[in-house]
Amino acid sequence: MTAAELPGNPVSGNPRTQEPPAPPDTRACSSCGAQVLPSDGYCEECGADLLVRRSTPPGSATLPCSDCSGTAFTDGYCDHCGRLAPSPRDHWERDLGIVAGVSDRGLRHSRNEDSMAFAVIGEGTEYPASVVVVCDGVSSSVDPQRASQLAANTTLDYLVRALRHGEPAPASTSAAIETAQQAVAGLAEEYRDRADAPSCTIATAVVERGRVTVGWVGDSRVYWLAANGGTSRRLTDDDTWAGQLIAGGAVNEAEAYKAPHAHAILRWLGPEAPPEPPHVRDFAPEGPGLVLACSDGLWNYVWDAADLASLAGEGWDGLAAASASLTAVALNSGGQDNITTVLAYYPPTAPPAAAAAAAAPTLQLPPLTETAEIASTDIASSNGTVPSDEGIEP
Amino acid sequence: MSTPTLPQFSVSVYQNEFLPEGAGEVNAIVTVTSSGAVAGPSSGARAAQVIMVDCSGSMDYPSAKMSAARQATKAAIDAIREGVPFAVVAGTHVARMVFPTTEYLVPADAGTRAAAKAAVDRLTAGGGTAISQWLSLADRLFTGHENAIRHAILLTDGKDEHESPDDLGMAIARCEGRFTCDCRGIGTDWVVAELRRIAGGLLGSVDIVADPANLADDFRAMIEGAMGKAVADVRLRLWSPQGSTIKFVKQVAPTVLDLSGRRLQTGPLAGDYPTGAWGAESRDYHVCVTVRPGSVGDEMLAARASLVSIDGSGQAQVLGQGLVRAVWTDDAALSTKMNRQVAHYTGQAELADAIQAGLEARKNGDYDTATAKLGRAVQLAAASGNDDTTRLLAKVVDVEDPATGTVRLKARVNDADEMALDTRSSKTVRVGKGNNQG
Repeated sequence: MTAAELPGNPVSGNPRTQEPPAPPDTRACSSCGAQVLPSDGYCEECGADLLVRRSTPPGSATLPCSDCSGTAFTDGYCDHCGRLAPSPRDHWERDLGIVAGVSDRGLRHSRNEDSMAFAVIGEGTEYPASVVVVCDGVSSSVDPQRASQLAANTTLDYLVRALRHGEPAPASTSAAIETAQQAVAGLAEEYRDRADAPSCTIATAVVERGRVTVGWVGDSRVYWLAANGGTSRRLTDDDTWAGQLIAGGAVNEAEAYKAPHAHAILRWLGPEAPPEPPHVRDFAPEGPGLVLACSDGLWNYVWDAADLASLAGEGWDGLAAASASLTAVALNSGGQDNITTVLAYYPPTAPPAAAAAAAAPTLQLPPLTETAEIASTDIASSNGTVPSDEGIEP
Repeated sequence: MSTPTLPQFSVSVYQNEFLPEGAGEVNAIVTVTSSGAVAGPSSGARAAQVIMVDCSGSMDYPSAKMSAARQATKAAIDAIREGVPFAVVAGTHVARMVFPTTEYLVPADAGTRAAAKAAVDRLTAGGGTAISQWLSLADRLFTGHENAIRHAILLTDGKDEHESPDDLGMAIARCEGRFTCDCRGIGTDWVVAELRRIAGGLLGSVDIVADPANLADDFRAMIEGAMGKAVADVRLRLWSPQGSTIKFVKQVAPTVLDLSGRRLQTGPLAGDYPTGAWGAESRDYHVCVTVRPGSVGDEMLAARASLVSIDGSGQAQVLGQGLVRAVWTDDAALSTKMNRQVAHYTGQAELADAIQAGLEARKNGDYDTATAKLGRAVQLAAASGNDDTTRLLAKVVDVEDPATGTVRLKARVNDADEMALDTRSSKTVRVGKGNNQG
C-alpha cells in the first residue's frame, strides 16, 4: 500500500486543539520544571515541546582507563598505558517505554561506531507516533561514529519537527535522510582526504496508527515482527551486492552473504555518496507487533524475521529487556561487529501487558541520570498515577 | 625584533594499525612537511656559517683540487646572505683562521666578502689532516650564535690520518646539536666511512665531488640550502606508553639516517631525536615500537610523534603531531596487509645496508658475499624505482637480471664510481603518493 492509499493524515492538525484522554493533572515541564497541563502542547514558560520525548545521545563522561585505571587522557588515549579511553558509547541503553534500544561495541571492535536516536510523539493523543533512527558508521572512513551520531540526530530532529507540523511520514522520511546526507557530507570539510571522511548507513522507522514508514540507505535494516502468529518480514532491502541479489529473488540470504564482497555497501551517507534519493517504503500492519531497526551487527547472526520475532518475544517483558536479549544473542554468537537494536511497539501505544508492567514504576528506583529520559514519571502520569515520594522508597 | 613566525609543519602517519592477537610490533612512516615559507631570502631566521677547507699537502696533487677548492669557497662566500655572520677555516693537522684572522664570525657584506675572497685566493696546501681540530674550531666560532641556524661545510680530500678515530669521535660528539655539517670528499683518497660518521652525527649530507670543476656549484647549492632553513634545532619527540620500547627511529627520506641512539629522554615516557634545521622540505621517518600485545578489539596509542622546536631559552614548541595506533583484530585480511610506505622504506633501508655491506665485502676480497649483497641491492633498487642507485650499481656490477638480482662483479671498477655508490647508498626515493592509505 502506498501513502496515497492511506486514509487521512495520521498526525495532521494542531495537537494543542486535540483533547487528550488523560485527566488534567499538572506535571513538570521536562525542560524548565514549570507546572504544565498534559493537554498543553508546548510549555508556557520555555516553549519546550511537551508532546515529544526523545532519547538522549551518549554522554561525554570521562571513565577511568580500563587497563591501568589512569584518569588522564590525551587525544583519546590513556596518558600512561596508551589504551583507548573508554567511551560512554561503548554500551548505551535508552528506554522511552514504547520504544527502547541498546547500542553495543560488540566483542571485536575497539569502538562503537553505531548510533541510535528515537522519540515518541503525541502520547495520550489520538495520533501517537514513534520515530526510530539507527546508523552504522562505515569502518573504512575516519571517525565514522561522528557521521552516525550526526545522521541519527539530524534525521530524528527533522522527522519530529515535520510530524509535529502534520507532514506525512513518507515524504518527511525522504527529506530527513537527505538533510542528514548534507550534514554528514559537510563533515568532510574538516578532513584532509575527502574520500576518507566520516560516512554511515541509516535506517529509519516512523510508527503511526495504521502505518509503518521505513527509510534507509546502506545495510542497516528494519523488520516487522508480527505478534499473535502474524507474518513477520524484513521491510528494507540492503544496498549491498548480496542485498540486490536477495531482493531480486535470485538467491536466499544465507547463500548471498557467503560471497567475499557480499557485505560491501553500494550506498551510504557521506562524501561521494551516490546521488539517488533514499529508499522509502510504507505498509499497513494487519495486527499488533514490533518494529525492529538494527545494524548488521545483529542481523549478521539472525537475519530471519520469524527468528527475530520469536527472540523478541513480542516485547512482553518490555522493550528494553527485549532489545537487551537480542543484543545478547549477537554477543554470544561472537559479537564481531557493533550491535544496535531498537524496538518500537505497533500500535505506538503501550500494549496491555506492558501497560500492566508500567503500572509498577512507582516501585522502581528512579532512572540513572545517563538515561534520564526513561522517565518513569511520564509513563506513570500517562497512566493516571501521580508519582509520589513514597513510591521510590526501597 | 618580535619572535619570528615559525613555518607550518604538517605530520602524517602511514601505517597498518591492525595487528593479530599476540603481536606487539608497530611500524609507521611519519612524514613531516615544512612549508618553510616564512623566511624570505632577505628576512626571517638568523643564520651563521663556517666553511672548512682542507689545505693539507695532498690538495696540491693534482693542483686542480686546491684551485677548485678556492673557487668553490669563493662561490660559497658570494652565496651567503647579506648580514649572515661567517668565517673560513683552513684545515690541516691543525685548524687555522683564514677569514677573519681572529676567532669570531663577521657579518657578510660587500667589504667582508671581498676580503674573505682575497684571503681564500692566498690559500696554499701543506700539512697533515686532523679533522677533530677543524670541528672544534667551528664549534668555538659558533659560540654566542646559539639562536642562529648554525651550518658548516667541510671539504676534505684525504684520510683523517693525523689523529686517532677516537679523537674524531669525541669531537663529533661534542659538536652534536651545536651545528649541522655538510661534508664533501674531493678526489678518491678520502674515506667514505669517516665523512659519513661526521655527517651522520652532525645531521648533514655527505657526497663525493669526483670532478673538481663541479665543486663551486655544489658549494653554492649547500649555502643556498642552509640559508633557506627557517627553524633550527627541531626534534622528533616520541611518546610511547608504559611497557613499550622504541625498537628504532630512522630518517628514511631523503636519506637513511638511524637516529635510534640519539634519544634524549624528556619525560618518563617521552624522548627527543634530533633532526637539525628545517627549511621548506619534507622528510620521512620510520618508527618501530614494541608494545604490550592486546586482545582482539583492543586499541592502543603506540606512539605520539611530535615535531618540537627548542627556542633559545630551551622551551619546546610543538610544530605538529601524528598518532601511531595499534588495533588488534582477528581479521587476517586486515592484519597481514603491509602498509605500502612501511614496505617501501623497509626496502630502501635494506638497499642502503646491502650496498654498504657488499662494497665492504668486495674490499675485503669476499666476492661471494659481495655478489650476493650487491645483487640484492640491484633487485631492491629496480623494484622500488630508485633509478639513481640503479645507475650507480651498474658501474660496479654487470647486471644480468635485475628482477632476480643476478649480477657479476666487474673486474675493474673506477674508485670514484665505487665511492659514489657508497656515499649515495643512503639516498632513498619516495613511494609514489596517491595510494597511501594506511
